Amino acid sequence: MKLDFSIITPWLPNFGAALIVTVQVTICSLLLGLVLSIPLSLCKISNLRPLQAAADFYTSVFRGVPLLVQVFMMYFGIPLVLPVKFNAFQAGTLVFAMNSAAYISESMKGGIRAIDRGQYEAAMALGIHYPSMMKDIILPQAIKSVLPSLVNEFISLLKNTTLISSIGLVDILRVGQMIQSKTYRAFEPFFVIAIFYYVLVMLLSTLGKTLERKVNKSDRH
Amino acid sequence: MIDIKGLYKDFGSLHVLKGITLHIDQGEIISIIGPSGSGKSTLLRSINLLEEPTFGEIWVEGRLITPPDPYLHPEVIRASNTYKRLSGTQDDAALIARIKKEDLLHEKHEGARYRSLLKEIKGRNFESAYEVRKKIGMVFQHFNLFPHMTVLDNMIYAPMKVLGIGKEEAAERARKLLTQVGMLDKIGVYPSTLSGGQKQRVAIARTLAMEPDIVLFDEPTSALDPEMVKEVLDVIKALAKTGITMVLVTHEMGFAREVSDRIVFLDEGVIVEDADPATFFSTPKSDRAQAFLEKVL
Ligand SMILES: Nc1ncnc2c1ncn2[C@@H]1O[C@H](COP(=O)(O)OP(=O)(O)OP(=O)(O)O)[C@@H](O)[C@H]1O
Ligand SMILES: [Mg+2]
Repeated sequence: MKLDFSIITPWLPNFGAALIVTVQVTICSLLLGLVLSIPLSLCKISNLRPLQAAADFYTSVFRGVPLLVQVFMMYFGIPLVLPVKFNAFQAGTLVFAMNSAAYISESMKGGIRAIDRGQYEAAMALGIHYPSMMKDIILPQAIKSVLPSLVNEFISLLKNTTLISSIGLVDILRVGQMIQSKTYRAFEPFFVIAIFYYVLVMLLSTLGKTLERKVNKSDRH
Repeated sequence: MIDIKGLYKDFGSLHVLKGITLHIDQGEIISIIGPSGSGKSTLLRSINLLEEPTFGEIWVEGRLITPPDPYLHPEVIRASNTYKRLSGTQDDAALIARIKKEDLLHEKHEGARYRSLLKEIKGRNFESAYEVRKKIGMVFQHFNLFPHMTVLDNMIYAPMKVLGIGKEEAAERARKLLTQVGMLDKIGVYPSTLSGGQKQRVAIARTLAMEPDIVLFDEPTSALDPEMVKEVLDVIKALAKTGITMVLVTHEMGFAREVSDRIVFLDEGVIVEDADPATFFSTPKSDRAQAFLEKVL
C-alpha cells in the first residue's frame, strides 16, 4: 500500500482545534492536581491519624482503579447518584487532576519530609505561624524536589488525555479516528499523531530539565 | 526577666532535665556549659518552647509561657481531691511535699475547684508561644537560614509577616544590621554562596531584625571551621555590650569567661554550679565541674 500523507491536509484545522483541547485538559489537570496535592500532602504528614488515613485511602483508590473506569464513573456514573452534571471536558479534567494529586502528593510528602528540622525550628523561633511557615518556608523547598515528578506527571497526563476521546471530546486521537472512518486510512493519521505526541513529550522533558536546573540554582555550593 | 521554676523534661523514659530553677535578669549574659548530653540545648530550647517542658513553669517578662504547674502552687494542691482524701494523715507541709514527690495529682480527678484555680492562674498570666517568640530570638548551631530566599528576604520575611512592619522599613532595618555584622555586600545573594561564618553572621542579623529582648545561642560556633570562629564571636561580643539579655550554650570556654556575667554549669540535667566566671573558672566548687574543666581547658 502506498502512503499518502496529503490526505491529512484537509484535516489540519481539526487538528489545530483538537490540539487546543488536549493542551487545555493537560494544563488544567496539572494545575488543579498540583493545588489539590498540597492539602493532600499536608494530611499525609500530619500527626492526626484520621487525616493520614483518609489521604492514604484517597491515593490508593486512584492508584487502584483503572483510569478509563474512573473517567466513565465521573462522566456517566456520578451524575446519576449525585446532583451534579459534568460535560466531557470537566469530567475528564477532574479525574485527571484527582489522579495527579494522588501521585504528586506522594512525592510532595517525600519532599516535605526531606526538609531539615532546623528550617521548622528557625521559622518557629521567629514566631512564624504554621500556615505561613508551610506556605513560604517549607513548601517552596519541597516543591523543588517534586519538580522532576511534576514533569513526569505532565508527560503522563498528556498521554492519558487521549482517554477523553472515549467520552466524546474531540482531542487529537479523536481526529485520527475521524480521518480513519472517512478515508479508510489508518497508518497516516495515527503515525502523524504518534510523532506529534513524541515531539511534545520530548519538548516537555527538555523543559523540565531546564526548570530543574534553574530552581536548583539557590542550592548550589 | 526569665524565671525557670522546677523544670523537668523527659524524652520518653529518658530524663533529660531534672528540676532546673534559674533566674535570669534583664541585661544579663549567661553561659550554660557542661558535658555533651547534659541537657544544655534542651534547657535553652525550652525557653522559647521549641521543647515542651514535662513539668515546671517558665516565666518571661512576667508572663507564664508554659501551662501552669499545679505542683508549684500550694493553694492549687490544697484544692485537689487528692489532698482532701489524704489530709489528716500528715500535716499540711509534709502532705504537699509528698504529693509533689510522688506525683499524685491526676488532672481529671481533682475536682472543679482545682481546675478552676489552674484556669484562673493561666487566664491571668499565660502568653502563647507565638507572642513569646516575638521577644526571644534564637541563633542555631547550623544557622538554619532559608536557602530559597536571598539574604535580604531572610532578613525581612519575619519582621514583615510577624511584626507587620512595612517592606521599606524592614529592608532599612536589614541593611543597618547587615552593616553591623559586616555582611551588607552580600544582601542580594543566596545563603548557599556564603561561608559558614558569613551564614552565622547573617543568621544573627536575622534574629536581631525582630528586635528581641532576649537572644538564645545554641553553640553558635561549633559548626564552623576554626578560622571563622573569631568573626562570629566578635559579632556576639559586640552584641553583648548593647545591654541585650543573652543566654549562650557554648564550648568556647575563653569566650564564656570573657563575656558572661554568670556561668551555669549543667550536668546530667541539674544545675551543679551557678557562679560568676572568675569564681567558676578559678575555684569550681563541685568535683564534677572540676573534672569537666580539667578536660576542656
Ligand atoms: N528530641 C529528642 N528525642 C529524644 N531524645 C532527645 C531529644 N533531644 C535530645 N535528646 C536527648 O537528651 C539528652 C540531652 O540532649 P541535649 O541536646 O540537651 O544535650 P546537650 O547538653 O546540648 O549536648 P551537646 O553538648 O552534645 O549538644 C541527650 O541524651 C539527647 O540524646
Ligand atoms: Mg546541644
